[in-house]
Amino acid sequence: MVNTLAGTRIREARRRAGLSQTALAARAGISASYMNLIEHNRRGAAGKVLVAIAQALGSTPSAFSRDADLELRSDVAEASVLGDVDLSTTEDLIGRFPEWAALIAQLHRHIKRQDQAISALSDRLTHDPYLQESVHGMLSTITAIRSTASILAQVKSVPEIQQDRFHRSVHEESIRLSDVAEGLATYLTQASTLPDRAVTPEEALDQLLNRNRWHFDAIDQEVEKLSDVPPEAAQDRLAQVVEEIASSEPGLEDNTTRIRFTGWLQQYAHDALAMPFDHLVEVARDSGFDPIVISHVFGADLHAVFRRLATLKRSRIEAPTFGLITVNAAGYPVFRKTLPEFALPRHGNACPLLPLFAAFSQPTVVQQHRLALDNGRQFHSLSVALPRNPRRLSEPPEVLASMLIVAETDNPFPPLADAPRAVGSSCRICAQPDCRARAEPRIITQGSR
Amino acid sequence: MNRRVLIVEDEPNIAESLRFLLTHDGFQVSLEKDGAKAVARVDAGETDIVVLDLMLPNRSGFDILRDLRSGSHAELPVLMLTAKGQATDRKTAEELGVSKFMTKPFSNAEVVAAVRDLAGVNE
Repeated sequence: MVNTLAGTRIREARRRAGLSQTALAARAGISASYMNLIEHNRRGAAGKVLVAIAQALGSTPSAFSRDADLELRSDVAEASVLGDVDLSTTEDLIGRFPEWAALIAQLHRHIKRQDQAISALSDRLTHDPYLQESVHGMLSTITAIRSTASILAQVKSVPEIQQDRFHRSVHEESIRLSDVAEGLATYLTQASTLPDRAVTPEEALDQLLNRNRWHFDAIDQEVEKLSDVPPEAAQDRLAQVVEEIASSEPGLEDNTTRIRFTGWLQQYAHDALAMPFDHLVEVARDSGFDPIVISHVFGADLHAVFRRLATLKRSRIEAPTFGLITVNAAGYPVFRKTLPEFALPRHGNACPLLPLFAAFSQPTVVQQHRLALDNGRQFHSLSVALPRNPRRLSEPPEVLASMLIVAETDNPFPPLADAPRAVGSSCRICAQPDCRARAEPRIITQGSR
Repeated sequence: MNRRVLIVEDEPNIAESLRFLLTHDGFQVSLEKDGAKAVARVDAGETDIVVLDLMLPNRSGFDILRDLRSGSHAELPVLMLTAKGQATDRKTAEELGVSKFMTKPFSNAEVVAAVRDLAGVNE
């Protein structure tokens, strides 16, 4: 697992500081040749070496870590599907031209928001009951006017009393049509602001979690202090910590985002209490990150184990970067941590060929697959579906499916001999040719691979 | 000809113009806007053809069609009219055994031709 971005970042920081490679190597106490290998991403920089380099540059190790700018990397990688771009240059771009990378990410987010707005409006046009009622009313009224006007215009022998009635009918229906049209116009004008409100909380939550790099030291550290405390008291204390974190997070004005963020933290705290960090690191390291072993050791379900692996603080353990998606039976993501090279949709509509969905047919069985994306990247996935315990006898069972993903180059699990399965993120941005599962055309046709 | 047509439609102006058109074309026409009463009139043997709106208060045109087909009116010609032109509605109507399906707005000539066709009246 070479920390490729670190080398490029270190090189740029050294140049900005006006230092030669040799001078920086000397300050950091390593050889110039080793520094050269690091800067050219041929050797990873971690632990004491990274700390020494960071100090020599007047910076911190986190500024050069693989997790830095995770959100930016993710957005730039997602944007790359719009053109014929070599993904291996993504990190180089971010390291050398951070402003341009930020601009690309910003434009990509803007396009995605527009796309989601279009989807939301399209859904609204198709399913909105007020619109359906209005359109039905307009068509009925138009039918009455058309039919009556045709009789008056084309039938010569309409009795006078009937003529009067038809004239009144045209008059009444034209007023009704005017009212329906006016109401519809007002409604559509008001609806134009809806998509932004509907899509923002998910985006805001993603940004928050990326900013915090998906882990919360305050919770993990508190859990370590609570090892001898009775469970109920420990939960109460953790609930306080969650509130403190949520209330201190800047930019949480939106109530929906606050509720989602708090719920996310509560789940994190619950998982942390079940699998305290230090012990988890020990078991994960000894078992090669085997989720079944971890599940047995802590008595935790696999959804929770996957979440812990996906949110491990990687500065404290040499671990691969895991992505994770957990969906309900309707395919709606209830937990989603994407990988920079493997975008997972926020609002459902994920690729139906993802093993995640096949897991529903064999609950409790962990399925392993090799996956190949349309961008050529390969991943290893572990998928499992588990029923949630109902809270009472009358409650129907709910099954969730999770898929843990890791880049094949970082895969800590035993390799599979099977050929990789061709999958995508979602049909709208997937370029897999001749896919039997394609549900809708790709929205981008030009410049595609 | 004197074939009897029952128009089941809750929009009075549409019902009135349909009545005029079909009467003008030689049909014997009656109007009904209540689904249960419409089925009762058919059961009473007063009807040769039904022109049935889909969106009705209380019971939908689908409910009425289902009642007719599950009773002793499996072969009764039924023309369904709707402002909901969705493919699923047409499919549902066909599955329930509709004879013809027409979406609003329609022309007078179209609706008269459809009823004549169901009545077996040659041009």
